[in-house]
Amino acid sequence: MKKAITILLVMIITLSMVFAGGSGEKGSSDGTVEQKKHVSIYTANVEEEAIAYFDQFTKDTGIEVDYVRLSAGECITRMEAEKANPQVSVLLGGSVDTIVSAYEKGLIEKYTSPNMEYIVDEYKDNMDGIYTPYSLVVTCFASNTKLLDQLGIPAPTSWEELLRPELKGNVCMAHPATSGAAYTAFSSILQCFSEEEGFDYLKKLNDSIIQYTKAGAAPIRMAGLEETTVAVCYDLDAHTIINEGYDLVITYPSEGTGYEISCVSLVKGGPAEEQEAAKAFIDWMLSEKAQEMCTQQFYRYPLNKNVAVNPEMKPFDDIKLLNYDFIWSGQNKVRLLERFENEVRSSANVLN
Amino acid sequence: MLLQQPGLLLIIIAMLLILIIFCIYPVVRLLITCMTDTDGNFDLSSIRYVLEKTNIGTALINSIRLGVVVAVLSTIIGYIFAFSLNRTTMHGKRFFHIIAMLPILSPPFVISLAVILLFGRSGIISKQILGITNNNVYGFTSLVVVQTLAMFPLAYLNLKGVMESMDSSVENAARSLGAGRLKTFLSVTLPLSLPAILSAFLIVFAKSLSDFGNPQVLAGDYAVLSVSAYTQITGLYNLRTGSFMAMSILVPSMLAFFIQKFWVSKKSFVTITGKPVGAVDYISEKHIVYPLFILCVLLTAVIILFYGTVLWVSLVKTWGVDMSLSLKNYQFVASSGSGKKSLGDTLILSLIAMPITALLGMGISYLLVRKKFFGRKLMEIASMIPFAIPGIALGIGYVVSFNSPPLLLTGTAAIIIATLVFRTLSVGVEAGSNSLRQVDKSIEEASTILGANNFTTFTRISLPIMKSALFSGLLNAFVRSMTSVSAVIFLVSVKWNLLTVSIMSAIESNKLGLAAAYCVLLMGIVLIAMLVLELLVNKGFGKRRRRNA
Repeated sequence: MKKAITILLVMIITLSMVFAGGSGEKGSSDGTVEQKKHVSIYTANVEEEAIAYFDQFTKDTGIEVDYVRLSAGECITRMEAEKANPQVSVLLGGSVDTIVSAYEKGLIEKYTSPNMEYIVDEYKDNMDGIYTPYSLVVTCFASNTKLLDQLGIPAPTSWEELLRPELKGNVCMAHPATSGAAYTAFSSILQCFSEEEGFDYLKKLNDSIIQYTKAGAAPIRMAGLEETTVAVCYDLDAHTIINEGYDLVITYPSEGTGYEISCVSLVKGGPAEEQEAAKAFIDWMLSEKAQEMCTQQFYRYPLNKNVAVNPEMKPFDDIKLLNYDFIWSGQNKVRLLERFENEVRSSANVLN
Repeated sequence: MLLQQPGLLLIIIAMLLILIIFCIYPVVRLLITCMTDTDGNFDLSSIRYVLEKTNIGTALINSIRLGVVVAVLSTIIGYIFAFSLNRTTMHGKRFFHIIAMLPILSPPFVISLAVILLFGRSGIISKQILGITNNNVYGFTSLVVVQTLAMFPLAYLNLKGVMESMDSSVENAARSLGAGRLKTFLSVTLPLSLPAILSAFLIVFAKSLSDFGNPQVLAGDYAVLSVSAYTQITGLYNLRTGSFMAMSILVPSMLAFFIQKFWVSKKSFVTITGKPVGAVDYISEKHIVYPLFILCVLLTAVIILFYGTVLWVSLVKTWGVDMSLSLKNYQFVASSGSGKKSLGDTLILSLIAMPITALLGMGISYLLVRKKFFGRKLMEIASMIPFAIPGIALGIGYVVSFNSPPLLLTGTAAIIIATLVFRTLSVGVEAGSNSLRQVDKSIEEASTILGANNFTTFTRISLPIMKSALFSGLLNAFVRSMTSVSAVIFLVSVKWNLLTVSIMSAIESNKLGLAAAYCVLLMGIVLIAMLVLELLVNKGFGKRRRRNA
């Protein structure tokens, strides 16, 4: 009797776990796989943006999308942890250096979309299919208009102007080790000057920085909330928050600025039945319709030749872009960040 | 002895097996991952890298310093609350109780966010009320405040359970023998609650060490281990070094754990003996009640201030720009498919995880306190590990461990439920053990002598005694499940998503109002669940309803 009851108790516990798992799987095989085509995606894009693409894609092709939204670093870590049995077949988001390093870890499958022919020539190179570029986002300064007025200065238009004494303790950027956006800005500075001069500049800039935030989007929020006057960030994030009603002005450094080529990539060894749909999604991201959405709704610089830039954004040719070297940037990441920690961060008290 | 009780033996083996699979195996597997290179060869370079090149030493010391300070403060505050609400005739006990629960009902980083909005450079209090323009909220002090506020309820719940089950006749005896209130407290109440105080301290200490949400937002330049580990993993894409750093947190937590166990095991704290229990002699002296009352009021005021801010943020159009009230954030949640889905998923998963966690917790604590068997220490340590390790390491450990047959769980609900269960298990185990230690074994022996078997004794005698602990175990399981972030971020899947991940995502994309609205909804649900639970547990076991002054 007592044996039976104890066994029962154990059974209930284990069963309820198994059952919970079983029911989870059932939901997926209820016809979706057989009848409707379907693709699973990890995305590092803002959720609202990702959903907009997915909904439109489903409307256009009938292929259903399931997704998980994580930061780029989390996406890559998950893919690495799941390497033995990948759960998704597409990664939407991530910059070239991120994808290349993921490729080197064996997480990315090469794929060249037929739609690459519509991509503007300068950005056509995709390293033999490792990544598929679908848009550009550019490093910019976003300054709080009200705080600028209080300081009595115009918005900074160059890296040099960021060092103005008035801006001491009034600049915010994310930590380059934790944020892709900040790493782009960081690497841009090193590439714009030279590595040595760049570090000298960063040491000076360090005096102006109020905080190196963890998340890449945090500086712009701080600028919006008047926690800092200038945020160094991607223009995409700046446009989004201006759209919410915050009074910010976007400027680009005149010496030259960095940018991210946002990619959409095929995950190596993803679910076999999704491969076709996965490629269809990558192709679709380069289509005119998707590229229109990219720029009109989400403030990205489109890469499809036939799509014009959103008029609210600064014309692409008016921004001085660096000849940004993604490969150098990616390969030297650990070394440069160590230098940053040792030479810049330890040299001064960051938190005024 | 065990061989004569095959049922018990079986259950012990089953429990051990479950714990080994879900608590120890993932950590071991992760450790192996740290020590092998991409081709699977033995390779210690990541560990050498961590020890030589990173700030692990400073971060570890910082984490421990923070943990100790927070644990001391939380335990003191938790004790004041538990004592005031259980031993005095103070007014508004029920109100205090509910407010004290708020911090554990909310995802951890919410308070951090409120701190920035209230005390940041353009914070409402710092700038607009006090006129300080350059207030720096990032750093150690803020972290202590925020973590203490977020974690003292853990200590409170733990202590409350013991206060309730502590037989007050010992205190009454001390009073009858002429001891004053202070003497009674110092020589009876306090020593009797010592094991619970230590375990509350331990729980908060471990929790603070593994906390990631708050330091991520507020630490500024104060490097703590969980954030450094996260940086390694998601910033430098270095899973191995990051995981190793995260796991090193186990060293101080386990150390604290052993010290506590060693201390507690040497003492006996039995007060429930089956003899008639006298009514609690509630303290009504004004000079004792008033100061306690004021302390409770102050603390609840701070909590209300923080959560009020969150509510406010969720209700304005755009914080800092257009402060007019609007329901647009809630409308967005209602209209967004993903918001509703993650809300539903979160509820389902938490509701499944809740009873499993609570039963496992009570069962394990019963075995630990009452039975002597081979593997007891193992069971105790195993149940502690998933709680003590930073969530991100646990999450990665689970993915690495359960991503291939025979234990193919990634993408299913089961893996999320398992994480939720085992991550919160130890709180239930601690609460259960604490109440059980108060109970004389002879009551259970009497039951056995009268012919009841182990199971009946457990369900009819031990479980009712552990009622309060069971309640806090259930509640904790549910709440932690609803609000956990870092562990599940690697486990949510295309089929199952959780609300906290949506909140994080909203914060990352600077939608503060939306994040706040999600939080408010989440807390609302949890609050309702809490009230229902309290009703059920009280009804279920009938007697000893909480007496309200």
